[in-house]
Amino acid sequence: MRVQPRIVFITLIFILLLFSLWHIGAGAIYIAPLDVFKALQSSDSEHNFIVNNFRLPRLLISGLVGAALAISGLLIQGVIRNPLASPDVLGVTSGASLAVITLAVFWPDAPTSYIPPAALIGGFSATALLLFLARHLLHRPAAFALVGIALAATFGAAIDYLLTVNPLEINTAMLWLTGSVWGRNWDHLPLIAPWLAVLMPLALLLAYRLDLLGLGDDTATSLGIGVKKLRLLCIVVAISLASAAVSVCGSIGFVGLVSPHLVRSLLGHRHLLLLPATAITGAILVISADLFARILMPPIELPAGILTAFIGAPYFIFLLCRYKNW
Amino acid sequence: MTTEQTAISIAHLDVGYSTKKIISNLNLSIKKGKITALIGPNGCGKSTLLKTISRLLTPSAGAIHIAGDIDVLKSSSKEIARRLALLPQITQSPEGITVKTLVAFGRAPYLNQFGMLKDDDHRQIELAMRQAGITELADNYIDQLSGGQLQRVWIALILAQDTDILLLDEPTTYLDISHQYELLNLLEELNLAGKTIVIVMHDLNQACRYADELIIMQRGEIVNIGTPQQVFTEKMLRDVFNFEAIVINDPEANTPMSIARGRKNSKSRAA
Repeated sequence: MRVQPRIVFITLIFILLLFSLWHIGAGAIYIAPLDVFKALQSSDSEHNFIVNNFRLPRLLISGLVGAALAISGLLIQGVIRNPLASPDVLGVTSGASLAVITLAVFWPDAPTSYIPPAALIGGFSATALLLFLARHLLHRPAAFALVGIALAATFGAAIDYLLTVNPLEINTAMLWLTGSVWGRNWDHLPLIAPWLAVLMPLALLLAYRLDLLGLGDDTATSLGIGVKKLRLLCIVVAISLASAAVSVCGSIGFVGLVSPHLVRSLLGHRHLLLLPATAITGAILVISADLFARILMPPIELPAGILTAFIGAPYFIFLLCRYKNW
Repeated sequence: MTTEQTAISIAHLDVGYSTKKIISNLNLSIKKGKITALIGPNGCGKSTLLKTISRLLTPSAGAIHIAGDIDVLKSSSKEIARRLALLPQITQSPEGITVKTLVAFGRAPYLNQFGMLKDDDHRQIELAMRQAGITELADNYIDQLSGGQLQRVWIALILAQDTDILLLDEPTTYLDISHQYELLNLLEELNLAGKTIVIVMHDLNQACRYADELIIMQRGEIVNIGTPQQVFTEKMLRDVFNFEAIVINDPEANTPMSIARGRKNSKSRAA
């Protein structure tokens, strides 16, 4: 199924705006779409305080986290040419989470600005470990993904251990771990926005070379691409984005896996189109997950990560069943 | 010295891992404007040599020069990609793209970061598709093509690269017999149009028929170089390939060809 790129983008942006409006409107105090616009425009509006202080930052953070995770997944799938890969499946996000929890347990008074570097260190260590353990499996996507899943499980166990032995504010930690955007405000925006602002353009610069990499290492090399350098650069960008997302709201699973697949089936292979489309799709997924997490059984707020897992995990199983090149 | 020019010259080349050398101290010059076939038994290093020339493998020592003085290992990748194109043995075609899109990737060494095609690039792509005889397929999706057609598309891709030298690693391996000859005839036409062609070949009789020069390799060394008439002998087949055969004249092409010797009790004898 191939669709005109223009139509895909218009549709995606329309859906994004629709869910954004609904996301801001929904909650304990319902705000009608028209009132949302009013609140955004003027400070006199009765809903201005709620919208600007609580719902708008939460919306933006959901969207940016979704975009970051989705781009991360697209890059990882592209460079290791593995349709089953994404930052969460490969254990990158669990590694980042483990590092942040370790920080919280052993240094409870650490300022929040220490969280992103901790997440980065965790994410990169997890990736280095994965690449070392599975260095002979790079050409066997399913086996490679399996090593990643095992690593993710190990990190998960370590997190459980730390939280059981050191019962800190377990609720906050739990919320953060399952990927929640609850209580996120303007203070959290600097944790994610600069990363995207720098890394998204960089990813776009690499887009054409990623297309060439899709022809195989041999052809890419003979067309003048420095394959090893490109692969390393993309992995660094991908892991930085995933770790930044984790440092804001824990691990929101499967967004990085599902978004690139969805967009590829509509747009084909050109990364210059895939990158922005995947970013928008990721944003839609996390925004809608957070929306439904709030409105499904009020007043309980589910973490958004639980909802993305509900959609993403069956999709992953579907991919595994369909996948032939074991 | 002869008046013939050298397209690729290789000096003191070592390729391999620390424990195992695949090629050691290899010296070779490949003539410009000719079809050169690399032949030899499995594991003789012929593919390794081709991969080293095309920068897929990095040699531990030695130098490779093209067009006289351009150092393949030290020049920029893009610079070399404008002079040397490779068709790997196994190609990887992305799903859901058209023939023209795939061929256009051959222009990569001439394009900027974003891969924007200019008028000249479009002309080169059209020309490459015409030479490979796939103009009518331009808008077809890759997934719809037969094996023979797909291989022609890949030939068009390396033609779009607009290089003087084409390297091909067993390009006929996955084709049925009629498409094998179709492809080899195409390569011959391209050679007549001026391309220097180096092919790793498995079929010895095809190598004799199409190559101007044979490079015979064994255990990482070059055993002999010359025209098929000079080097394709019964003794060579026995020594290098461990193959008992008689060499006769191919009545169609007037080049040497081999026919396996029969066994004493074989079916053909009994009949």
